Amino acid sequence: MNFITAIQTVFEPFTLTVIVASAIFGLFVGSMPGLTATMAAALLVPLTFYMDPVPAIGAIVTCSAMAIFAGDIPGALLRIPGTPASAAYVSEAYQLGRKGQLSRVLSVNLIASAIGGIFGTLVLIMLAPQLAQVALRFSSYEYFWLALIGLSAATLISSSNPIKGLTALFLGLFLAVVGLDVVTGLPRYTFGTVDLMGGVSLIAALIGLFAVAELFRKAATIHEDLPPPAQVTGAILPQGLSAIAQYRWNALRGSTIGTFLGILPGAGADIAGWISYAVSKRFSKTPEKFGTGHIEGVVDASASNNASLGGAYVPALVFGIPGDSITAIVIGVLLIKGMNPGPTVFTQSGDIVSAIFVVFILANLLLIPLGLLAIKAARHVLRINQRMLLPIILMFSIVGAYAVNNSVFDLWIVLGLGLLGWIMEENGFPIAPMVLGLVLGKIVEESFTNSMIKAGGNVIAFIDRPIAATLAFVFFAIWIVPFVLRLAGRRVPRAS
Amino acid sequence: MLKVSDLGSGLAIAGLGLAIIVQAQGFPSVGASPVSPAFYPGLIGTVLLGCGLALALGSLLKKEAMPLGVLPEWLRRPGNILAVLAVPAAIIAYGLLSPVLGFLATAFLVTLGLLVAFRVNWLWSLGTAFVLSGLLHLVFVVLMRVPLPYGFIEALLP
Repeated sequence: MNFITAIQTVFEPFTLTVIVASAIFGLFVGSMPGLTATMAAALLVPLTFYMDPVPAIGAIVTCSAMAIFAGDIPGALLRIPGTPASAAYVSEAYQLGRKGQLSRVLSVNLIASAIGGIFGTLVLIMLAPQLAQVALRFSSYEYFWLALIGLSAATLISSSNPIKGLTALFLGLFLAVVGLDVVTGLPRYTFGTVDLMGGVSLIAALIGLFAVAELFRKAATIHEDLPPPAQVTGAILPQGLSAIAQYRWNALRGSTIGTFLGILPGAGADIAGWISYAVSKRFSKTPEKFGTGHIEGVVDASASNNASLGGAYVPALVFGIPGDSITAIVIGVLLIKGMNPGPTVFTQSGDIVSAIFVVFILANLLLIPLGLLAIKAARHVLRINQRMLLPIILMFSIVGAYAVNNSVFDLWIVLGLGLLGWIMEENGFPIAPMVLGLVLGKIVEESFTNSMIKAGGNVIAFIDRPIAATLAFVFFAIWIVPFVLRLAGRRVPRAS
Repeated sequence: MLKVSDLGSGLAIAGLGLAIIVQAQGFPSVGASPVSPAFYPGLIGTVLLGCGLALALGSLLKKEAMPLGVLPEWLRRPGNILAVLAVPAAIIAYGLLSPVLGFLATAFLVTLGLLVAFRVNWLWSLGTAFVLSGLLHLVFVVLMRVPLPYGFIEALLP
């Protein structure tokens, strides 16, 4: 990999402008309560459609890193998490603010986010190419099982009810079936509509499920304006640096846990924040201080949620299996750009992968100066009337979804899936597995069909190779073990 | 949105699964391929049918107290009803009006309607609709060169 070429690509004026603009956009969306990093990424997709792969992916990487940090700002100021990734420690951060330590907690959020982000990036840079070397030896059978393992893990992790997670996943897989069959060219579930022959537009689906569904939810609850936020005063960075120095091992632990959880398909920044905060409390020398305005858990969790972003790109780039909903969008963008995420991306598009690594480092370095500005501007940004903001976001969603294919039909997809996403979330069905199913559906069907054709219809071929058999075992274990454990858990009390 | 019990959602999902299976039966098999085009959607339909029945059965076994569905809180607040309805109305209005009026006029009218529905005052609504439609035109048409629908306002532009 040639990092010099990658740096030159990233530092081209256009790419750099896109990165800085996406950073500001990410900081803005992240700091607005209720608007998620995934929504910010989804809103960028129509714009990236017209860009080369490096600025396109760079925009999403930068925007999501900034949004996850910025979610901490309204948490500390208003006790409302900007994104779900900050929810775990929002109460702690707010308590610190009330104790007069607002600058300290926001500074810790910022520095720990940058440390976590860089840690996750370094793991990504070191681990992904090595794993890709191994993955290059995989055949379609191994890929088939790997895709199933990824989808299963994502389904089981993202929902407390595995059946609802599975339903969401298969709804996504069904949406991916709509259109012309890749092998036979036969139209399936198009109901004679020409617009559906090419399948459900991925960009329209992403905007519907991630942006419009969220706008519906916000519109249903918009009845009071936010309280006026406090003013952040004094020098910000020095206060955070001393806290980070005191809890340096917490920052390292949070970064490690976040990166690992990011690599795991389905577990993103939200879960990383919760688990790291819980681990911090469990191993703290002063667990009784947690919840009263104690900085320790904030260090762990702030580092963790940003670290998970880099981790999530490991399975996405190496196997084409998204680690979280943002990488599901990235895979969609790569597919639209004609690139197939998977180990061959490292050999065929090595320069682009290197450039993505450079963007990751740059985004986390930019986080400090731009994050400081965001903290300073927070008081004014949080005064923006949500009643004005939501219509503006909706207009960007509508025009963005329409502009990709200049298709009115895509707007009906946006509306239909927006409504469906809203109903699903309100009833406990997670959206992320559905998007994974939609993104990976065609790949799963193709690898299954190709494998079957190769094996002449003999299903034994799927477990004939040792690695394929091991992966098949893991796949079945993922589904069977939780049910066995649950049954065993039910029987034990009865027996005693 | 409407809160539906697991019995209600389970039955709806099972129905969808069944419809997918029934529709797949009509797909013709092709030549020597060991996998029929109906196999994969049939499998998806079967899993959805199974999930739906499991949800419905689980709800019955738990004797879920909730009726098939309950009306949500936002339906009791007229301001929220208007805001929620404005979202699909804006998407539909843009889809129907933009081919007729062109992008700029449609974007202006839809934004104005949305802002008024969200109870922003008229002066702010007019100003924001004017600036936003111009900004969207700048981003999509001028910078990204997307050919958005051409209308009578575009005809007046240089």
